[in-house]
Amino acid sequence: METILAFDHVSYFYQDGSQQVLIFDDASYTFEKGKLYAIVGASGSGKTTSIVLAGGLDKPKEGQVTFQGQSLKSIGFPVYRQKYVSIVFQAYNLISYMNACQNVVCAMDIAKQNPADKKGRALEILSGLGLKPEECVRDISKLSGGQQQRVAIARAIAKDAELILADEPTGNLDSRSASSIVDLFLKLAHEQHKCVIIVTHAKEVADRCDVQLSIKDGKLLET
Amino acid sequence: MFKNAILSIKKNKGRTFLLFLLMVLIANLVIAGLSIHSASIKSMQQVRESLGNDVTLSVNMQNLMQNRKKGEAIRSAMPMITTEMADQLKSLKYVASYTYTVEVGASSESLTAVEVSDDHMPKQDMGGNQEDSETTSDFKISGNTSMEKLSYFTDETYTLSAGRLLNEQDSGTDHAVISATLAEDNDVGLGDKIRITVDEVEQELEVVGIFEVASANGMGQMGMNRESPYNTIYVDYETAQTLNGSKTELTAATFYLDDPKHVDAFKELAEEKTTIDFDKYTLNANDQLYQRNVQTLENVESFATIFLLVVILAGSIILCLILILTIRGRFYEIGIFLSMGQPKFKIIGQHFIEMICIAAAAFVLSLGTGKMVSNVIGNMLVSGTSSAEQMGLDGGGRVNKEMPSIGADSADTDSVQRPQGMDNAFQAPSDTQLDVSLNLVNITELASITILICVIAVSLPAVYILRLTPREILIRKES
Repeated sequence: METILAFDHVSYFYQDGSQQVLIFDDASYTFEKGKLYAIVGASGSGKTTSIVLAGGLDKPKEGQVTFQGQSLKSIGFPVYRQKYVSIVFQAYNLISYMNACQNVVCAMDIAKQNPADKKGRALEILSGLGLKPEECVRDISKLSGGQQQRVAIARAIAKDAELILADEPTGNLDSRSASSIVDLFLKLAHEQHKCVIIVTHAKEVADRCDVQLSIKDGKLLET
Repeated sequence: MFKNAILSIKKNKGRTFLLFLLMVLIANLVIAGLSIHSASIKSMQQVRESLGNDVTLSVNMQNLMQNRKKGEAIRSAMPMITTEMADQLKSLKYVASYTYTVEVGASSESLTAVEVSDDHMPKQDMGGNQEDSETTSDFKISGNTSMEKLSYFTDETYTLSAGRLLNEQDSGTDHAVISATLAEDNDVGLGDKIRITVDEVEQELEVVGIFEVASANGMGQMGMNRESPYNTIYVDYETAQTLNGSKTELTAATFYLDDPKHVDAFKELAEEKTTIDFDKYTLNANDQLYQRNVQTLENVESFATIFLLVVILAGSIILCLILILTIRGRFYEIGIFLSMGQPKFKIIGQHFIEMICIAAAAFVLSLGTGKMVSNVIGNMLVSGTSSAEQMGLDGGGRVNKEMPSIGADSADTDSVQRPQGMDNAFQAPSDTQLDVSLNLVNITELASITILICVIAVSLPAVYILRLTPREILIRKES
């Protein structure tokens, strides 16, 4: 399988008052296309940080993250985020003055995806995730947590990026919905040959993924 | 970018309305500042053109008195102003136009003078040469190259009530302009003929204009009929020269400069380029009115400039502060857009478009309300400064600019030794109104200033936020 993303001797910490909290310490790992990865671990172990680094939302303190052999720095972090990666955030991070459909269309606009009917495609994706037509045009603030999470997932899918990152994508969903989301991710990985990396603390979700990783002693290790 | 801006404006109505109100306030104040600034410059230009740009060639009386022989009659010692001298001055740089005046006393058997007293003075040539005559000169013949420039008419002490004033085209004609009181007393109307006599030479004149004496300051000296404006008969310059018996002598020559600020330069040029003996003659600038008015307007102009700068600066600061406060909610939104890969310039561009849309609406509204605000502030400023300056001005009358400035040898024509009965002090206009109407230049300036304020108000908070990484921005919300 083709390597798409790599952590190359990455070290990362964040400042907590006067203390430095080390997350990655010379960590190296490669992610391949066509696979669904799960990063598991306890709260505060650095799972979200791996999404942050993989998504180009911050730079490692040492080492580099590469995409298709090129460092994110050389690609340009904004360009990388625009074209090559989609992120589903734990807090959904939807635009408050747009409805569900508009949020998805906005992502397509940013990624310069130009299907013939953007709105139609957005509605199709949202519908595939279980949102009703009237929910698609509702204010984001009037949607439930689970509905907002589906919108966030729809936005990531609509971008059609080669790398999809998701931070607790099933956190607010019931088990049946969560299972359908995992089915969707598996389809994206196996059928559309994308690399999907999800962060989860749910064992049943992690068990269905192709590879499970955890962060131990600052390293990314397969479990 | 545009689509997102419109969505944001529609969704956040409260914030949009607040910004709109603020922009209306700022735009109104900017319009007020701009239009007052333009108006004060325009008014200064008008004041320059209408007041205080005339310089009169006259006899230097101070030197005359110092140099005359003991017992010598003043009038005998007084030199004449000649056309040759005046012609040298009229062709100098800075002279926009000129008026030559010849005045002579006259009598009339067909006209009865408007009596101002029972006393009758001997006939006198107004240029100062007294002739022995048993005839009473009840009238003053005033011949000018153009009546339109005479100060009594330009400042509306006299107003034309019928017919027209004499101008260059009346040269060599028998046309005359008389006062309405003289016309009424003698049942004379436009087109009627009158006859006047100077030194037994009779001249028939046709009345082509009648003027009213509008201001009491034009009354002239009591006790002398010919000094009264009611008994002044205006004729063309050549006719007056003929009646005066000299083609070379003038009573006065007044030169109107292109700009009052050139008065001193003109005087220097006159001394340098002409053969006029400035020990015997002098050039008097009548610019006190200009000086008094221009000070008011200069004060208004400098206030308007400071006001404008303060408004722009304060407006930008206030808008920036408001935007920084509102940016807390948008802080997170910016982080989301950055995480999705939206370029920074588009994020700033969206905020800028939102500001411009709100500013455009405020701009349109302010075009209507701004004029009202300008008028109120502008007239407050002008009336406030004018009333303070007019406290020391009232003296009643004005200097007769048609006469030689007897007794004066400098620009200060308020000095002593005026002809008896003539008032001394200048009277300033009662108020100086500013025309604060908006023009295309003001509107363009307002639009430019509005855009500049929007750029500053958007850029400063944006620079603060966009220096952070998307993670740093998003983590603030989550924490």
